[in-house]
Amino acid sequence: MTPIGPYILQILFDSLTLGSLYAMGALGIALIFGVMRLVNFAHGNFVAFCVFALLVPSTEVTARVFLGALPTPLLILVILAIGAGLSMASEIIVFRHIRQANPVTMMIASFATGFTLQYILLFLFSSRPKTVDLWAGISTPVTIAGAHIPLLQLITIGVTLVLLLSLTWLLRRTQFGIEMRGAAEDFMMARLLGVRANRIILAAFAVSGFLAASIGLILVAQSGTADIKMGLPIMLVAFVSTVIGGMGNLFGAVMAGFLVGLVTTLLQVTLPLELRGFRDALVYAAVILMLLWRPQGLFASATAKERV
Amino acid sequence: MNPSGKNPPILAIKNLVVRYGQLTALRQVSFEVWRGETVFITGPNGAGKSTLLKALAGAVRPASGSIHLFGENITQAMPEAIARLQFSMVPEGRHVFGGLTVRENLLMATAARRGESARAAAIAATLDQVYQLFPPLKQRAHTLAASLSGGQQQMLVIGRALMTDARLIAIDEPSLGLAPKITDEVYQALFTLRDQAGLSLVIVEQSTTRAVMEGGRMILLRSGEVVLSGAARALTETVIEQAYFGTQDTPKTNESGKK
Ligand SMILES: Nc1ncnc2c1ncn2[C@@H]1O[C@H](COP(=O)(O)OP(=O)(O)O)[C@@H](O)[C@H]1O
Ligand SMILES: [Mg+2]
Repeated sequence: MTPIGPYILQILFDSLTLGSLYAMGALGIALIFGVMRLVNFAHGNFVAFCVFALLVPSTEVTARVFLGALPTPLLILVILAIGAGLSMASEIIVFRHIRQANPVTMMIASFATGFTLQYILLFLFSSRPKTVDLWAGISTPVTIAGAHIPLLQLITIGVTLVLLLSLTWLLRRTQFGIEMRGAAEDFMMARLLGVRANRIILAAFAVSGFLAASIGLILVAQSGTADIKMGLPIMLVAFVSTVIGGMGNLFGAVMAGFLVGLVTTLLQVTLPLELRGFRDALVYAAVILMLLWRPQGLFASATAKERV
Repeated sequence: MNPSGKNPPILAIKNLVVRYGQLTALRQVSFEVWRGETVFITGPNGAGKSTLLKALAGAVRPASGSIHLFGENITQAMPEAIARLQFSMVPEGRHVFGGLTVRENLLMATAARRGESARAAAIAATLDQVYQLFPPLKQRAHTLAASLSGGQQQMLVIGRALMTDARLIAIDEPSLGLAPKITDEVYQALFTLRDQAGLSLVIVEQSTTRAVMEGGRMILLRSGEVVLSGAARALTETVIEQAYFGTQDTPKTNESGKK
């Protein structure tokens, strides 16, 4: 029998890793929802797009790297920039023009944007998942207090924490951040005070795309495969997390992301083997119960209010 | 009417029409505001007062007519562009950013500042001024705005308007939900600023009492139309009542040549 300490540590790192991905996804979605009440279903496709930007277009099973051939630090920067750029382009080309439309129209437009991206990838790369061997050795386990933690988990958690802390600093300590938070809470009031709507929304898209690219990089390093649908399962959970967190509540979205990560990991290790297949069903059932109990979300503030 | 001689008005509204779908909320509204003036917009519930302020600030788009602010045509301008002309509108319903601290709420309002007044020193100076005017805001500078009392929130939204460095401030029902004593304090603060800083004020109040009490010009709206306008103190109670309740048929104004 394994000693209990390292076992718990292992579970902790597993849930933090999963939670990190969910939290970053949920934050990317919540940022956009906050400033323009758009539920951006294309977000998951941004993730896949960033991953495929690493590869040379081809329909073969083994991928040849394209941007992936760049030195690692540069590669990461370029992919992050592609994520931010793609997200900003979607705002400029699509969403900006339907900002006044009702939320359903915007949501459909985001589906359409997502599918368009997915079909571009399908056309260039086919639907077969590809093996991508980028960073060999990134899953070598590191031993911490008796537990064997893959290096990638440490990197994922570390990167997420750094990103979340920098974003917190930006949002809390800079004029730009104050304007962004205010705009997310009451967009028209922010505009009435002179906050430039286009600039804030574009910045929100940039940060959101940046987060999508980070998720893409972590996913491809984790799985070693590129799949045109690879962003979607995580994004589904991320959407759920933004709802649990209270739509538009950035802090809530992050917390809910980690919470769902924890619950999923706990179910994974406590469920008897024959029930594990139902893990996600149980997670979603818990979500339904939670929403019946608190439809406004766990972290909904008392400050949510009507718009001007 | 032109109280300040030959200067042009800072705000000129001509034949303004605003519709919400089938409903016409403002019909051919025209009036002007000159520098240093206090203009009260009054009228019963649903008269279109809030709509008028929203149209001024760019929050709703007029169907026709024109609005000129400091000489610029802003009829179809975006709210953030209008805010950049040193005009600030405090909408009905307070709209504090509850998840931001009091101080952050005030800083938020500096978004429209440009040039010298956007410098940290200039911002700090106005912040001090606002804190002096409304001491409770200073005490609670670092608490979330959501936790303020109604009166303090009203102070905050007015403080925010001041932080924009505005030359013209329009406020929707500053007295709504406030104790009379606090309402008096809020008005006191506004008039002090008007007299010290050359601010001009457009104030919406449902009741005409405050307008008559404070003086200044009064514009009375009913069903989206200007039914009476003139120096508040020169209007008799009967005339005001008739206009307010619509007990007379023809719109009346003491301005010559205008309807
Ligand atoms: N967003 C809106 N959509 C549709 N009708 C509105 C809207 N806002 C106001 N109205 C209508 O326009 C008219 C004027 O409203 P409002 O400007 O709020 O009046 P007041 O501030 O004088 O009470 C009312 O009949 C009101 O019901
Ligand atoms: Mg009103």
